[in-house]
Amino acid sequence: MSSTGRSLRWAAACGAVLMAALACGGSSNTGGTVTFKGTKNIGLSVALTGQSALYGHAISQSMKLAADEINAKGGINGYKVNADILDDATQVANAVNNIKSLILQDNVVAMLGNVTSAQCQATSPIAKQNKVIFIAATCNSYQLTTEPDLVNPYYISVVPNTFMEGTAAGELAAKTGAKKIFIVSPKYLFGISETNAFVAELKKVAPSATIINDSSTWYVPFPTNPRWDSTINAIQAAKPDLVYSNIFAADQINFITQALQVDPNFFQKYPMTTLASVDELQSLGSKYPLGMHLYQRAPFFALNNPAMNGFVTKYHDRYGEFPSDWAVMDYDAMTMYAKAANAAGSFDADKVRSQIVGHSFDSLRGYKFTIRDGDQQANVGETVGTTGDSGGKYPFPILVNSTNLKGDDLLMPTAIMQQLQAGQCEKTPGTPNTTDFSLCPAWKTS
Amino acid sequence: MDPGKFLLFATGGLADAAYLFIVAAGLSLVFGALRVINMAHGSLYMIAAMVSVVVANRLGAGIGFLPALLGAVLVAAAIGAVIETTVLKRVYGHEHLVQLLATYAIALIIGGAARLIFGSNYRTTSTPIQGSLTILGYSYSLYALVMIAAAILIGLGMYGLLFRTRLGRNIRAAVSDPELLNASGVNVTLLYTAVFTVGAGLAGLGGAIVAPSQAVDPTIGDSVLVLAFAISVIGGLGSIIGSAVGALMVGEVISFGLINPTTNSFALAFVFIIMTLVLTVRPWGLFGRPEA
Amino acid sequence: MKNAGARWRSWVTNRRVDRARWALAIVLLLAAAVLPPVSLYLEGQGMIESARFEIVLGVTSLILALWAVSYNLMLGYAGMVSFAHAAYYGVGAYTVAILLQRYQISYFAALAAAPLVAATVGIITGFVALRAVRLYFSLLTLAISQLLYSVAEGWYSVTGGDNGINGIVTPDQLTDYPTLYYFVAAIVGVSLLLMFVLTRSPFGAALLAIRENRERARSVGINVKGYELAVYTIAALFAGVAGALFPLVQPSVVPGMLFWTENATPVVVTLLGGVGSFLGPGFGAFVFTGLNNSLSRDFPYQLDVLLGAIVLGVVLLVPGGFASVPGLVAQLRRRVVGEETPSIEAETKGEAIRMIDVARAVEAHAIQSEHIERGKVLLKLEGLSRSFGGLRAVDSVNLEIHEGDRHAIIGPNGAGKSTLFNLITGRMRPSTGRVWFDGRDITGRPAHVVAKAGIGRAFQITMIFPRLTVRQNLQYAMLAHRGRTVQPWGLADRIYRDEAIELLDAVGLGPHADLPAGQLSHGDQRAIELAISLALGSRMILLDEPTAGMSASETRHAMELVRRVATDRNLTLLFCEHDMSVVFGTARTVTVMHQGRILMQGTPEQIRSNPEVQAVYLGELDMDDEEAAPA
Repeated sequence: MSSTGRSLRWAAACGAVLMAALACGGSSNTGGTVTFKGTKNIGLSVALTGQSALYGHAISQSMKLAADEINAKGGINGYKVNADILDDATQVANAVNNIKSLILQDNVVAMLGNVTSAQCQATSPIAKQNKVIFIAATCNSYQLTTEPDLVNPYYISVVPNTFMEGTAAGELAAKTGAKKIFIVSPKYLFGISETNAFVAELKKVAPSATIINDSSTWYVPFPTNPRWDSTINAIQAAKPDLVYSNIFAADQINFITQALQVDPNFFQKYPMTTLASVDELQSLGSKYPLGMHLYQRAPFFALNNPAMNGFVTKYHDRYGEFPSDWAVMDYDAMTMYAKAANAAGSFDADKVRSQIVGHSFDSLRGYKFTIRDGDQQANVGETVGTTGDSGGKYPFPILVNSTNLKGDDLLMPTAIMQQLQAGQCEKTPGTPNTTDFSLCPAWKTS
Repeated sequence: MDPGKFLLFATGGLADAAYLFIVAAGLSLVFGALRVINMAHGSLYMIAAMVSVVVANRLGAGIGFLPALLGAVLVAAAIGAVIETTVLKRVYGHEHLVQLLATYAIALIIGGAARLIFGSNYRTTSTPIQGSLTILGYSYSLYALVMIAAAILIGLGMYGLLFRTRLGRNIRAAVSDPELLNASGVNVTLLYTAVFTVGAGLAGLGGAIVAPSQAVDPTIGDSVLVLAFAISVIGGLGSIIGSAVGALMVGEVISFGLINPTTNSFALAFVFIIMTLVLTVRPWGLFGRPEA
Repeated sequence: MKNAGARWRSWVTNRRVDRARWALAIVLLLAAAVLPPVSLYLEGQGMIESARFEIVLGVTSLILALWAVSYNLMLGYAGMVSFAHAAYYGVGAYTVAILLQRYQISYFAALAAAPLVAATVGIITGFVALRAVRLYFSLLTLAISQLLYSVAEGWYSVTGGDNGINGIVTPDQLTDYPTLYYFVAAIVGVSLLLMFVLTRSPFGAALLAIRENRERARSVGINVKGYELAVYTIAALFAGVAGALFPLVQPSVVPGMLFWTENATPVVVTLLGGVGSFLGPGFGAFVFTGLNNSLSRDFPYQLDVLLGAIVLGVVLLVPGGFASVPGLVAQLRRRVVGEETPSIEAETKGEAIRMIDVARAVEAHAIQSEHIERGKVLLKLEGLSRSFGGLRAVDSVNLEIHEGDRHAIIGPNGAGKSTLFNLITGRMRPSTGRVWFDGRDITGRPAHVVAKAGIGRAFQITMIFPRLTVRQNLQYAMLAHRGRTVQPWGLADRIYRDEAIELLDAVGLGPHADLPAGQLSHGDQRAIELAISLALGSRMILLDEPTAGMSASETRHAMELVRRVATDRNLTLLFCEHDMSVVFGTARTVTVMHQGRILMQGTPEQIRSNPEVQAVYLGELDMDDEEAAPA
């Protein structure tokens, strides 16, 4: 063979390598037990590594547990359900690649949402484009369902959105009677939208309360500096009656740890209202301060009912830890989907959707929730309370005197929701990403 | 701003500056003497932090701190020595990009290994010293003050090492006049290993000192690295005083900048503005020397 | 000619490797071109899960390929390591996102605008970044990248702040996956073609010269900073194109895209594919995307370790990346088959200088010179001084060199000769004093301006372009000096080729014309140096110890060439030497320097017999010693 021919042959081999490299990956998910017609995948791209790994871990565990239980009851429409889980390292780009892989290669019939709102922002449109049901149980910025360029009929939310949470927080803060409030919040979509809702609700129910730090200092850059000296010292300097925060995960842990080092009585001097989840409680364990006013989405210890208790036992037996709020909500998401798809007798997104919107579903949280039309938001509630000793029952404090605020009281008014979606509430008209509920005409008159 | 408040924020900035100084000093030293940009510096910081937390919790938080710290520093230094002898030796004298890539690859490997060994969850441990002080009406964390004291001691220690020992003299020669060093008969190979090991140890020390006051997981090295770079550049690559001044600057800018309404949005960016200015006007930093 | 057979074989092997690389490139391009139909076919056969997914991966790879190749324009061709490249990619993406979402401009119009915006940001920030050199340049690009990131993150009203811009909709015409693929392929293909033409052009030649030896490039008339800024901006422009294509695969644009660590991706891809090859990074992009995709599914926790190990492996073992594989395979083949690796070094043991055909060299068209008036003052130094801290390296030097003179400057080590040369050629700025050349004040002018003005320089240490061939060394020097390197099209390797070969033959380097200059023996490298300085057509040549490292016979030949050329072309020579036979055999005027000052000036005979000069050389005389001060 001529040298040119040799070269060409070798080069062609490399070309084949290229094609093979691209074709690599992808998994075959066919086959099941005798009683099933086949297998269907439900996809999840979650943070198993990276900044929000703490949450992702619990979510994937819960999803697998839910899948097993669904299969034990006969699966969905005679198919076995497979929890198809990929890691996205809390990165947006990975989340996008993963959802494409899940939809195109694994033919998922539904997706569970990502952890961060930034990721859901990027993946929801892809789900919409491919007509795949997308159930959010963690990411919860209200813009995800009401910002004009993000509106997605297949996006279902079973987690209270930032509007609802901020409202709950506002009520909680008002109840404490605090007059001077200091705000610290992470500067990204979630933090900003929840803080806005908090401030708006506070103005309504406690008009005499004031925010004592300038609005431009409410937000700390996110991801944050691990040392919180500046904020802790600012609080000391300002001497508020109450600190409101929605910082979470590692940031909350760092903040609390360092604040306690500065002053063991820091949170007695400066009580704090903050978003929390079982994860933060478990992480700090007995070091988590008592007397903190928390608002949580689904704390198992405050939602005492047979379904929840059974779930906690099963989860603890299988995984050796207690289920976080996210685990609870993702489980609810899975059971909701199973019920709706079975009712529809199909996996077609439009048919399943019609069995979701306007329908009610059981949940571990002890009540039935309904998915309303318009933004497909469940009227799920928020638990508020104060931390206290669990009396040896758990290795971390729990909420004592907790109240489960009703979702219906927290839901965004329909008028506001519609105006948001119609683009009537934009700071700069024509710029969807400046959407803000407080700019809606209906808000100003309410 | 009353004196009490001023002292409060100034000290807060010092606490920030303390661990940044220790980390940046190691990075700066390695660059000054070896002319290598160590992208794995943040990983060494992280590994030491993780090891110290795990060991301290095993031994009992509080008492276990000192042995944990020593153990962590040794681990970091050992990893550093391994990196230097196996990888860096082969890339000395090559273009900077090759060194960058080699150390970046190592950073990936260490980060991935940490995740595999320790998991992605974050861990916490207690500070060895509990309690706080009250000065002029404001509370101060005792441990933060200990951190500051530790940084000062370490700074003095490094000064002593560099200016009072033979090893230090050789290191300084490596920084300012590498050719003279070659000609003077010093075992340069061993010296380089020693310097890199010390640098790695410093990164580890920074991580171990900071660990009790924050949540530690495999990602904490990334943010530290950028700041350590900025500080080393501003202060001058190869200069300990430069690292101290740079760390002080960064710490105070963050401390005061975040609370002020006008500067809040670009407090962190400010560091890079300074970095840009320094690089355009005086590239070798405030206290550095022009590269030979 | 000794070992002609071995030489021929090595040339053929190189040719074979070249052909293999070309064949590989063509096959890869074809593979990329047929990816969609092949995927669909394979899906039909049940061999892959989803053709659409493969096509999506393909689109992602194409965009990454463009981004990486544009990065390599700076890295591989100009030797610049930038950490800001991801920022320009991000700017391109943001431009499209903002125009689409806020102003409802069509995607295609936005696609046209994005590279311009990226290039504008690029040229402004590049100007700042290039205030510093090498490592500090890289660090400065890091700072700039972080600043741009802060802008994207903070400028809420325009960029959406940390939220970014979302819900970007793919234009209707591109919703069909194969159509999308071919659209992107077309844009990427055109961009790559433009960049390819650029790399082969005289402009590209200037970049290579800069990469190989910045100092040398300056001394042949290349405005290094200017070219670096130009390539930086062009790279930013194409990064902007790649970024503008990105919203087609991801409907969200976030500030994180501009973070400095994002540059790791094009760097790793370029490394994998091969820094020294044009298309290498493109192939690296496809491999990287495929690798990343398969590994992250099955080994998410191990992904970083594996990726790190691969990068480390490539850096340490296969620094040339994938593109160097043909060469490595050829080497391996030779070893396996038992062929001798032709040893290059042994064959170029300074034959060149001995083979100088002086007459031919003098006649070679490459050497240009204008006819000038003899006798007038060409170079004038007035009170020239340069201090370093407390040390006065050059102290109030007054000197006049006449046209056509052959002027030697001698003096012991540390006398200030090299510093003086640096001051004349613009490598250093004087502390005080003036330099006049042909009536023009060139005091403190940058080196490339001085080179263009007519002063050529041969350096004390060999300054050539090591990885370029001998012929390219000469050709590119000529291109630069004659101002042709601003041309971004055409084939640099064709221009002045014949003239260069003529001159090379004349100085005995003909047989080695296609060898990398760095592989030649020291003596032959000096011959290249000489050839370059002769070819530049300068009116005055500064030779800094031109015969250093040459044997006696080499020295004789070299100086004979220089003398003849100088006489014939009326070149003015200014040289410093330690070899006295050269000085006294070549110079017409001799100036003696000592401790930065001119000790005396005269004819060779006058200087040779002067007792003070002898004493200076023996180190007896110390200018600071007041009692022994010269008369």
